[in-house]
Amino acid sequence: MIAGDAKSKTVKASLVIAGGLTVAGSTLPLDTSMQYTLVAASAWAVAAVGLDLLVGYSGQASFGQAAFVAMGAYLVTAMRVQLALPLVVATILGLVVVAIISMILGSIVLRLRIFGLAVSTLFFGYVVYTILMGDSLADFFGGANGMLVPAFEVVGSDPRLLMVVSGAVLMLSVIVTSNVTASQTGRALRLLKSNEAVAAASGVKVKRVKLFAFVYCSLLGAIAGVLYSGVVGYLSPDGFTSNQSINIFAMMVVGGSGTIGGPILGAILLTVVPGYFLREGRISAVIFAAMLLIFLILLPEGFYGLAQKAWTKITGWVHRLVPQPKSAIDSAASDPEAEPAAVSAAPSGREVFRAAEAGDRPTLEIDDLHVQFGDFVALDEVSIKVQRGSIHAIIGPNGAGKTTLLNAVSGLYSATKGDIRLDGASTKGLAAHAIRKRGVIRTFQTPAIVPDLDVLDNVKLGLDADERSSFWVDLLGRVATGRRERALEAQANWALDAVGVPRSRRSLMGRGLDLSEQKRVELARGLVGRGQVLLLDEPTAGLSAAETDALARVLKDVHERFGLTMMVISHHIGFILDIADEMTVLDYGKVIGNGEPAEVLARPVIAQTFVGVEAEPDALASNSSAMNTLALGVG
Amino acid sequence: MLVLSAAVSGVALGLLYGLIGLAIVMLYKSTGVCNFAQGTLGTLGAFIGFAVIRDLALPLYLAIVLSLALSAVVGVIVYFVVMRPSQDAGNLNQTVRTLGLSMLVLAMMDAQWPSSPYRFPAVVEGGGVTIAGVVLPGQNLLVAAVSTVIAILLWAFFKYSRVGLSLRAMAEQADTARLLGLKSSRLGATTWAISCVLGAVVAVLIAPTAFLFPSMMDSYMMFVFTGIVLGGLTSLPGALLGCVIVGVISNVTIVSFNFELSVVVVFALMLGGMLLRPQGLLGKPEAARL
Repeated sequence: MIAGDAKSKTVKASLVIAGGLTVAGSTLPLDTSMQYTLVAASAWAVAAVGLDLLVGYSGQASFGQAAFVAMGAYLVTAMRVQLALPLVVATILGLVVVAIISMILGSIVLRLRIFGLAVSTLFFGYVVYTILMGDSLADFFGGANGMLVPAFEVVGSDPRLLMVVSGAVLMLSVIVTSNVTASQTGRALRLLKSNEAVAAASGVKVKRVKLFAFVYCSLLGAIAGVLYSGVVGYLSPDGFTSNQSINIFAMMVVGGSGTIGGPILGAILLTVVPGYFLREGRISAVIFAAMLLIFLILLPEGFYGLAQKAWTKITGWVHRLVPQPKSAIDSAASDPEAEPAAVSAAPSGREVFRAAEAGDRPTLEIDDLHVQFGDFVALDEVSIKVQRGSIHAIIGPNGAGKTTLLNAVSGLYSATKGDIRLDGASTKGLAAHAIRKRGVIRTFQTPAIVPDLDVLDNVKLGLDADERSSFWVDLLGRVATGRRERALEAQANWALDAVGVPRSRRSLMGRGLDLSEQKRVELARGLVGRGQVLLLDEPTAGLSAAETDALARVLKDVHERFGLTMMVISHHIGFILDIADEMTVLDYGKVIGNGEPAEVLARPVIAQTFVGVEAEPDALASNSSAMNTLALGVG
Repeated sequence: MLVLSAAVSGVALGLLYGLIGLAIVMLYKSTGVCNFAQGTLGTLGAFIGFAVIRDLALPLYLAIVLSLALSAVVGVIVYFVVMRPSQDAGNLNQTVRTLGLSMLVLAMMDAQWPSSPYRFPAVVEGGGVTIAGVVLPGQNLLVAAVSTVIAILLWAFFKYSRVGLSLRAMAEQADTARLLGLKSSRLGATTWAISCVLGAVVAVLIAPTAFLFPSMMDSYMMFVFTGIVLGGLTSLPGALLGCVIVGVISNVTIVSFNFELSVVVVFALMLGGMLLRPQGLLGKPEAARL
């Protein structure tokens, strides 16, 4: 785990924090030094909010945020001084330059996992600092001597007016960031934060979405730089060292990452305390660093998390003191589980399967597939034809290559040899998200539920691959995406009805679900998407007998109604005999049997693979407990 | 000729980077934490040695031994006070703790030794040999010898000793190792002690040429990180190899041009490595587990 759970619906609390800072800084009778300190805090807060999207919501890291603040401050100021451009024009041009630099940098460093990302962004910050300090660009940026910042137009250097401007920018960035986190892009970010491979197999263009978060973070950093230049009036490279990058990061962590409002609290704390109360002396630096460490160790959730817990406690007391009418949620929870029979007609998009049913060519053809890791041959000469509209089971002992087969089909592993065809077209060389786009949907052995999204959002992820929105629309929020989100919600609710997840559980976070619910939510995600083939990896693992029966009913029901083609891995022979039309047995990466399930299981060679004894399966069934599940179907 | 001798001393410098790199990779592999305090903690070790020489008037060799021992103690303290409490806060939180720790130690050194930089006595004064016109200063030879010995010791430690094997098990599969009864806190403390000692060794070797001041390792750390990325992030020999490459290239560009450009060149080297070989020179590509 890189960062803790991100929180949803924090926009109101965050706006209260940002608004409170703005009102305090622009109206309270504070001394001038404190006023300037508060404006600076609001500028750093913008940078910290940007960082929160990258770290708290996307699980990436940047230890070079101060470099982007520096670029914003320096580029815009230099253009104002040297080219006499007005502030707004210079800002726009500056942001364009920063966006380009960040895009180039991001497309390289985002290839690495967190460690590589952390050190390369830290180094980038050091490079920017070294260049600003050096002589080569001193004519433009002032070198070690720094550069005077001309007063902003209109607002001048009045701290109250600066606070109004900076506070307004901060509130705007809170709103836009909240919009993004609540949108399709936000869902994709949290999915890739929990697992990148799963995100790719679910149709997320991982590189693009990561890059979006990185550039967004850099741009808020650059905007913070412009605001900061207005407060300080004088830029020096020493304000943008690697230490300052760490400070911004600390603001986010101390305030609470993944909350948007938390980083603002952190920015206020870490700017006001050292900038105002600990202004002088070497001891103050020691106190500051020690304070930071104590926060990190004792309050890992940050201030926001602490405040939220306190708030829940207080409202809890209030509820106990004032008798409440039985709430709607409680009564819904006491309802019996929503029965699958109550499913309404399928929303649009479902028709695809019906329309595609014509023709008898296999939907999925795996042809002489080899997958090799180093010297280890995981799959060898595997050929499987999955007929349209059939349920095809894959069984085999542990390590037989079953999951590897699904990974190869969904494009997570590439084949050493052989081909995989979907409706006759090869998927060779396609990335996982492109294969998902062609209609291959899969579930995972450990359900790929995003812990910090609610159930409904987790199901909506299944629709996002087919109905893509754009980053620009997502920035605008509900105004632009509301209608679309409501349509997605309707479909998600339909699928959750189909798999029998009761309404009262749908606003729960993924983390709070039990295993059986997680499996059903993941199945619902598979159902909503416009898929051709559903790949299910061990849907019954860890389920009780009753839950397995319920799942078999749901699968059969779904299959009958939509004629969906499925490939299912399971160890549970009874379950497979119950649902599968055809079965392939894998052992040591090779196909050792294929055909009608009961008939294949009756073959001596198959029984031997599973029980390890050479004997008639019927004879074994009576005395071996290991054969009990097998006997269920054969007998 | 100047470039050639810069390249040769770059190898020695690279080996020094490599020692810090080994410490960082080792800690990362066994605890999942990227230790940004590595350089500062090493500098603290050198300052301890410096204080012992100045204030207790002990001879250099004794001071070095004492400072290495105290560095190990510092490492253990850091583990139990800073890293171990509320470990479930996640790797990112812990990584930021190392950054905070670095700031704290730096501020403490600034407060304690305000009139730095100080001159730090060299273990080997002058001397050196000349081979084919290239001068190999004694200090460089010492650096190369010490680095080689430490690298071999570390290799043997991980390959044959009980603790070393346990650390590798922790690095490969932390949960399984715990289930098998390995004491994670004792191993964690050991790792931190080793990396602090390694840091102090490097600082003691660098201090005579760079002078002793609290942030003296900052610029070195960037080069070390580049070496680690080039080597493959999780490979110990890779870290050493990557750091030697960075040492040579940075030294040659500093001598031929200036420090500013060498920073840019080394950064470009890091980006180039990421582009062309993201898994590093000796690293293995990570396969996703599902």
